[in-house]
Amino acid sequence: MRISKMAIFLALIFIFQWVIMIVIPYILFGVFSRIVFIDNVFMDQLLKAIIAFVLVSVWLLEWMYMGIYVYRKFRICK
Amino acid sequence: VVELAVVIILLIASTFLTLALTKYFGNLFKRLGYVGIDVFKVRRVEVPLLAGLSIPISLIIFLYVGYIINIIHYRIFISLSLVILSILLVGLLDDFFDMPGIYKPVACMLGGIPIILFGTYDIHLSFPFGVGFRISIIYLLLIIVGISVSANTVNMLDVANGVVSLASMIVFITMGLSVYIVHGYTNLYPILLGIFVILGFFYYNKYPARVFLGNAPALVIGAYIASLAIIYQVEFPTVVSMYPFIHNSFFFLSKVRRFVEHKKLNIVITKLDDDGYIHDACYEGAPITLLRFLVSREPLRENDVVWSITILFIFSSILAIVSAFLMGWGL
Repeated sequence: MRISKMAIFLALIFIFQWVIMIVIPYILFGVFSRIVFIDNVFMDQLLKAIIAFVLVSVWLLEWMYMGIYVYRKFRICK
Repeated sequence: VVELAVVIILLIASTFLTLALTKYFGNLFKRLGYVGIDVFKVRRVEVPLLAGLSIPISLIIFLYVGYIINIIHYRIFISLSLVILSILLVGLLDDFFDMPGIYKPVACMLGGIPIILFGTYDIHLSFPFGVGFRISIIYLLLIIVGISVSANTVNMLDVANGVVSLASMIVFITMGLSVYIVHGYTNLYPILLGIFVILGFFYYNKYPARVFLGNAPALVIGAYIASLAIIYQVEFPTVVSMYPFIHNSFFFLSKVRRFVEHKKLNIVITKLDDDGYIHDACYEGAPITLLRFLVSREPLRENDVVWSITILFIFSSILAIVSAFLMGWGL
């Protein structure tokens, strides 16, 4: 059985995404423990949700562009 | 020791029940003519669909047995069973009736309700290096969305023989190890049950497949994974171990930009040559699915594709297990 060479590139993308996925909660935690203090539970969670949503969107977009770049760079059909 | 022996006997029995049920459903649907074409075979053979019904049935039966002999709590039994039944119903409606593309993602959200109703969750979401958030309101939303996303993302990768069953077994093994690393010894019966039940189905579904899984059982597997991740509080490692699933569905959605059935797209993503090799169809408008990505540099046989995807799942599972170790470390 053979392993696709593209699987190796995909594994590298996974490592990159994994590192960022660990950093994102850190940024969120840093913002909420050092900069923002909100007493209202609902507002606190709403703000957390908005910031988390933006960060996760950036994470997914960056995954998409990296995947498309690797695919276009190494595919046979040009 | 006695309890351990009972658990082992139950797990082995669950594999044999799934084997028998898979064979039964395979023969039944073949007789009824409910078959699909195995598109990545040169001789386009007909394979019975929906034989994976054995999976939800075995899961519910052995969760019930586990509850009866006090291996699992009744709340866990009821919430998991209701998740399985609700998602199964959603999937069967989709299998037998022509439902719109948006139906599955929306209807699968129902699967989150039993977990919320029976309170089998914790509002504390943990990440590596001791970072955690108490999100009492957002977490309820995450449960509903998470179950639906997980169910649909697993269903979308059912592209080659045995991929979903093999991948989900790897995810369950990773989840079991993560629970052990993060929480120490705990009752892993529902997770082990997932592995052993799917193992029984995998015997018939492995390359070359004698039966197909079907939409409904694939959705159930995804929802069961998400439910266990929530119940055992190992959301982060589980998401990491599911990276190949996420990659596949995200790249599909990012290109198509709407919820639509794959078969209704009428786009050729990959093609099979006369020697049994899968090629990238090189159509610019087609989504870069995981399968297309893997065959884009060199054509592969179906079993090479299955092997490559398996390696990717093992790799992401290693990252997940490292994540579980990191969750115990505080900076």
